[in-house]
Amino acid sequence: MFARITAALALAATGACTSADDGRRERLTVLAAASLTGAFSDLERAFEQANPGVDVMSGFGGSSALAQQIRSDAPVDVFASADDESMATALRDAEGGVQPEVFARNRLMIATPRGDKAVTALGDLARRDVIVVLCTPEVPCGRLAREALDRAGIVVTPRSYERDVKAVVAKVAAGEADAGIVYETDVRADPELVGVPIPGSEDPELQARYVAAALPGRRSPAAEAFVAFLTSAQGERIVRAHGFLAP
Amino acid sequence: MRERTSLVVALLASVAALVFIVPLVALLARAPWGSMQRELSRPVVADALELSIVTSIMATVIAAVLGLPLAWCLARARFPGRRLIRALATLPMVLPPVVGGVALLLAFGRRGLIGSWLYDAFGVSLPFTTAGVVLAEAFVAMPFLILASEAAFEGVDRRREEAARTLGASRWMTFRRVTLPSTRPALVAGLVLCWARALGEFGATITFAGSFRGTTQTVPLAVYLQLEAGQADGAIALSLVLVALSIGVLVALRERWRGAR
Repeated sequence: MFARITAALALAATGACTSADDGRRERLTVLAAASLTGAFSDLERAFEQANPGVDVMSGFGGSSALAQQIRSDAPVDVFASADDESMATALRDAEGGVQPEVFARNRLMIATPRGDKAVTALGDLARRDVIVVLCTPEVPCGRLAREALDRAGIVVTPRSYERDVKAVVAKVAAGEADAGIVYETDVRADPELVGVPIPGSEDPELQARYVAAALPGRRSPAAEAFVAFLTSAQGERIVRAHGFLAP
Repeated sequence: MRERTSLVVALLASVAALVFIVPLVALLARAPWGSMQRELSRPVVADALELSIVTSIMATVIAAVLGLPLAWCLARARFPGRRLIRALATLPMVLPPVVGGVALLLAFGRRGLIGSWLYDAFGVSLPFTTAGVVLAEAFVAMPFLILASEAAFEGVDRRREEAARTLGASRWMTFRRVTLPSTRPALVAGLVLCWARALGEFGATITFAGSFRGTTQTVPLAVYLQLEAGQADGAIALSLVLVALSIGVLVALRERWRGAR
């Protein structure tokens, strides 16, 4: 029994070593804004089909938090951020000459749980009896939500500030909150959510602007190809199919 | 005559000690000593500290009020399903805290098993409240107390208890005058562990209670979120306060719980 456990551990250890440099396949590590989760599974698949020598691995989270990871030298090849500030943070200590490419936009939307009729307009978020969750102000979604509320002159005290937009989605979809401000694409992606439009969300200044860049330190040829793919016609098509707007 | 410890054992022990010492030294070395006062006087820090201390103490009290009787029953009483209850009571110790948080949501969330009834009948919703934080902390920390107490209650010399009873002492008096004094060191150790675990709880808290300054953003959450926001100095300063607090309590109680030897 002891021998079997040792053998299993040894096997796992060798497995861990070889998967990193899979001989033929180059691993491409991508960090992307949480709201890109759904679109990226299709983008990854399409890119890998066109480039069989590449294995794309994506991680998602709040753009500002991801930027901090990159600044701490996380081994990342491509960064797809939901705003320019996070991209600038990620590139701050990097060699110059990197030009991030815009590849999508996204509109804000109020998400409510299916069956919960409490919220039908932006103003309802200010009511005391409505449980609202928002993204933390550091991430693009949180900043934009704050901006949208300020413009409408609505004061909201959320019950919780969540670390990224998918965490807000999770709380709303579970019915724990009556409403959250997320992106249009998030509402489309989750059948548990019902969307309430936000007036003024067509204004580009209230929209998320997604930029992608191949991080210079890593010099990965596949990284440049991936960023090019995001801005290609096929990439645009996939991204639009998930509800994102054209850049 | 004491045998000399083998070199291998001593070497391994030294490495083990380093595993604990090096991170602590790194924390001290990297701390923003110059701007410490400024970092610690930020409202975010004061709120998080106050909340953490209040909730961890409340969670420990609840753990004691509910956990000690359970530990007693597990140690002394015979009832069907005793082994199962004991296993379930220690489950939160091995469960990943986030999983605990998810389970709490499914039980006590607004649409949860018990939570939906609470909400419909009383309008009470535990997520996003300080009470929710206390519940999450108690959930993860109680097993420590139960385990320590059960062992303590089991190890008491029954003959002394029986003697007290035959001399006319009531059950409560026997407990207070005979059982408690002999189990006190173990109980105190259990309480301290329980409190420390409650203080450090993160996964269940952030999943079940959310994060909002002053209401649910405890110190571990504040440290994590500051780190994510690129405010490493604030995160480190707060971490040091927690470490100092923990060390302080451990040292102060060291005498107590090593007492009965």
